[in-house]
Amino acid sequence: MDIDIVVGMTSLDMPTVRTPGEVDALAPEDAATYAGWFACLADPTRVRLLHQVASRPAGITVGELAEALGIGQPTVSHHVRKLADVGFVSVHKRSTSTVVMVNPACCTGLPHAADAVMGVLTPRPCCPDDLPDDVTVRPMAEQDWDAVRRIYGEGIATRTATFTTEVPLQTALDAQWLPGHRWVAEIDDIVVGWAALSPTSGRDCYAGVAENSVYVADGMRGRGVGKALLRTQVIAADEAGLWTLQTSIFPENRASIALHHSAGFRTLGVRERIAQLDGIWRDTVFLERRSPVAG
Amino acid sequence: MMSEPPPVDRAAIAADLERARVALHELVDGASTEQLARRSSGTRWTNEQLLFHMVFGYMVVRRLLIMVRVFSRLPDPVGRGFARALNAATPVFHQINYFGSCAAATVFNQRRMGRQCDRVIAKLQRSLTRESETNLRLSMAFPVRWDPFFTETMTLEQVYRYPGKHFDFHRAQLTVG
Repeated sequence: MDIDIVVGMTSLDMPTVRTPGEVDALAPEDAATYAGWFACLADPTRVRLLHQVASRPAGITVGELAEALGIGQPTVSHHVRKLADVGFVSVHKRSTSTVVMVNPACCTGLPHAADAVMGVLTPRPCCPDDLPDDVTVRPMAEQDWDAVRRIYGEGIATRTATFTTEVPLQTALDAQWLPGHRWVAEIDDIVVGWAALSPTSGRDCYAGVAENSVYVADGMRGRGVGKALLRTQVIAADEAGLWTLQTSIFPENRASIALHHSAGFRTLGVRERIAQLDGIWRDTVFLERRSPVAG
Repeated sequence: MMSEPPPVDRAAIAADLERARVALHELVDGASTEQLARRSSGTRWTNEQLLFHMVFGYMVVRRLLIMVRVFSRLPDPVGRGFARALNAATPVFHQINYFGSCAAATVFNQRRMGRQCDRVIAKLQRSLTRESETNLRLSMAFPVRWDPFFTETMTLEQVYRYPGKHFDFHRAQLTVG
């Protein structure tokens, strides 16, 4: 038996998104809202049902849902009603059938709730503070190219830093990297790492969006070289008015992901099998840092 | 017995100030209207706005010199607390930094920008000449998040040297060539 209700699109509105500077704790009213959503999903059948509905953007009938899940239509109707009450789905009559559709707001509201609870939306740091005393960072100079390219090669050899398999020519890097955003780190006057920004697009509207790279020499990792480089890099980017920095990191490179988090980057998601390295499709974690000052 | 530190190389600082002044004039005088309006590379500014920002670096230094002279005479915790407060205000500083150069570029045309540069560098040259060796070694905590060339603690000498680094850093980003 189909249920005989028509529920209008119940709002699954996200609580007001606060700017990073204003968030320091999850507000009680937001927590209550999220708890209501999560409570509604505290049932495996309901989660499976929502998954079925969400996988069929054009809608799915109660009868099809019952068949797909292997449960009776009364049970489906009960769970659909609960999901509709909270606003995850809407229910419409179409001829003799009842069609269940996912509420599009659910697709953004639910991930937002998860992000809010897990602290993804809390204020992010500007940059790492606890820097090593023995590392100095300075603008890259012409004489640094050999060291920079050697360190690039060492990063390539790790197979956890980049899809690139050969060190690009100096001319190619010089053309690619933004002027003024090329830094080297030194310990005892020896170049032990570098950082650079590359534009992500040639279009004017993206002029303030850049992709960052940070490489540390073999034997120098774990000494705070990357931290010192990244700190200078983001401060210079902020000063120059660049509004978004982005980077892609292999999931195995957890040190680099943690380093970028300490400089205000946030993980946007995993890009699955985005490219091949040595013939194997690899995922990358995509991170971005929004300047606290621009726009 | 402790040996006296070598005297500060004022001639080198003065030469660097003059080098930048001459370079600024060459850049401004040699740029066409179209080049000045063109977007720079690696900043949010146009070339004209960025050129003013490069001059602004010298204007800021005059204020920084006063701050060092004052805060170096106060107890350390006061100076460090002030630097922390300034660090916390970094977004505000950058807003002023960005929009200030945008607005100023509408007021200072090429000729005025050159004159402004001459004025501010002349004042810095005069104050550098008058500065005692003791003064040049005064220091204070700095808001390191404001600029990649700021360090945790800077002496008056380092503050005089700072704008040249800032000038060269941004000069590479001009697209007037």
